[in-house]
Amino acid sequence: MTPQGRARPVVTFRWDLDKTYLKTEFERFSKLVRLPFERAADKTHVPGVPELVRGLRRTALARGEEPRVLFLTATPPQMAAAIREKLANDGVEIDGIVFKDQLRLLVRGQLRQIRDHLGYKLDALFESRLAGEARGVELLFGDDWESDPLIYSIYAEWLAGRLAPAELGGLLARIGVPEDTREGLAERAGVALAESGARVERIYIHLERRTPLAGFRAYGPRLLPTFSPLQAAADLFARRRLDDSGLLEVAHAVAAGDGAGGRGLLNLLDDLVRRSALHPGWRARVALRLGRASVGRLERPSWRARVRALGRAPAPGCDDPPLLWESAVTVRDVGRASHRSTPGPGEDGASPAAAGDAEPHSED
Amino acid sequence: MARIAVDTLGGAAAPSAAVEAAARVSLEGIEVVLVGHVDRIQDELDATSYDPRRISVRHCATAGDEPVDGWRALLPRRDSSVAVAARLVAEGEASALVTAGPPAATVLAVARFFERLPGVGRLGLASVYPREIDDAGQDPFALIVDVGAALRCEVADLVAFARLGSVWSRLVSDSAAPRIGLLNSGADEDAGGDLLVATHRRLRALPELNFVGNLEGSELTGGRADVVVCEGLVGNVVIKLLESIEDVVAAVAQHGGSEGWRARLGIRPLAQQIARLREISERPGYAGAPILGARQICLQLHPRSRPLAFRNALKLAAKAVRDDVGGQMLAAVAGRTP
Repeated sequence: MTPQGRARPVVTFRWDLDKTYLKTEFERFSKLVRLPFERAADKTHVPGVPELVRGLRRTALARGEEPRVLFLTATPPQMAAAIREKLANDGVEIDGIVFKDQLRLLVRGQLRQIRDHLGYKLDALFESRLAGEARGVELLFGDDWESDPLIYSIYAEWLAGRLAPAELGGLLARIGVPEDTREGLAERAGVALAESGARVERIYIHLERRTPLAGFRAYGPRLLPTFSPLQAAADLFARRRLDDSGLLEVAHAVAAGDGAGGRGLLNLLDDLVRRSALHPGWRARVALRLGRASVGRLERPSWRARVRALGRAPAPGCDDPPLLWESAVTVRDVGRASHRSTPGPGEDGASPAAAGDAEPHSED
Repeated sequence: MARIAVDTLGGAAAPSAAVEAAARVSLEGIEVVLVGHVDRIQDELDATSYDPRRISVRHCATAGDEPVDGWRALLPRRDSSVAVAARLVAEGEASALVTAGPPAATVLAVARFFERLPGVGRLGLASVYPREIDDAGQDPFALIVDVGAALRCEVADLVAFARLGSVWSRLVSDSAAPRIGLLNSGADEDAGGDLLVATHRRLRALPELNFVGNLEGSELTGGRADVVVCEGLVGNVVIKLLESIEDVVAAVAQHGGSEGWRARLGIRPLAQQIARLREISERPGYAGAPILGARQICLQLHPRSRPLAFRNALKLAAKAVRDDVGGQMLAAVAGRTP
């Protein structure tokens, strides 16, 4: 409660763990089997993310809000100690973390539920909201490995009161959620929220797999695919959810961890501008701050850059049009197919000989 | 780090071929500046995977091949994509230029904006073509300079082409001493008129060059020379003739195929060889060839280049910058062995 006796507004920051916060490698079997034995010190985070989590909490407090930092992961609770220790080592204060008890599901013979990522995550999101753990405005952070864009979008639509239980049931059936999970979810979705003003403000999807951006259009402007935590930080800075020092901490960490020089950092901002996700005025303001702090050995800002940063920078929009589920579900399937068919580095659609690829004059 | 300026408006498949290739090399660590229409570039990027840290975009809405009347046609348009890209290189914003735009516009832009190597009078537009090899390890492609930048040349121009072509061939073919041939009507030292006789004498007197003498037309597709030196007019005729072989082979095969079952049966055993010939002579897959005579690197691609050709060109340009080919060329024209 505030000194005046009014409850502080709550803002919930919800984070996925693997591939969003942690650089978990589970693509190869050899890496996967090592995961349960990893200690906190063995775990590495995505550069800039711990700084972003800390900065968001600090800024929310400074704005007189009550921050809630919640983690949601499909990692089994047997790894909880190492994960909690890692977060503590990073200076990240959390208000809750949900693990997926796969051992219990195995013992109960619920094999389909072990594989079902989507139903599990949605259930956990609904549960935490109905239990009052998550409150107020939410900002969701995920990645492009599993179905975070779709899960978060379904959740956001439900929170916005635009997804009736019957519609949700049909949607979940279509995307392959097991029947008993479906029923539970539809039941939860039917419970009226006591809290008013609950909504998802923004969904940030970290493009760990470099999934083409076109696939995310179906999720609407609420979802922002980001190549780096700096892009999320710039958007949050423009929304006044992240303060100056938070922005700079993220930028320093990205520059140090990714090896992105000053030009690389500015390219990340320009990428957002080209995608109409960041107003040029905000780009100028962010660039000015990075330049002043010499992040990534950026030169001191010129007078022209300083003048540019004084220009108009309107508050980012909060467009939240209803989603077209047909497109969103189709895109999810297309995205998965494209990952299977996308050639890896060194591979090509055409044969090397046909393209002259193997020849010295066709340097490759 | 090398940063390559790419003219995305040049070529038949603009801008998709250039942007797709740039997106791909950005994931492999090469930094690019895409010059072209920003919205169209972003639309193309949206459809593919890329690393935005290594991609920047310079907006430009005018392609280098848009028609210009009168005397202005002789000057590079300052607002055309190739001119904007060339200026980026000249001003140090980028290290090399890759384009599939019209070669004439590229040559004009290079002549206007790049720093000319000392003592070099005319620029040389190079090209590569497939040929037979004499020994293992020899590059199956030969370099020919000039193919149209300078229709008529002087002795000094041809000598410069030989020096610069040798440096480029060393880079691309990993050959320590590329063999230089002077395209002529006969093998004798005295063949071909005053220009070619004088050039022959000058080249023979240069110990840093591996000059193998005159090269007749019949020897072009053999392995005797790795770098063929000629005037632009001759080179242009040669390269277009070589390009047309591909079409002739295809036409012969097609004609044979329509001549009844006996002809089809006769062609069948040759089908693989014909396909292979088409593969190696198909220019849209080549990495392009340089415009020689400037301190900075410019790679000119075939106008029908596919994304793979752009990708190869971007990698080749990055390698040329990394190996300081510009510095090597400077040393070469100064008569020093780089």
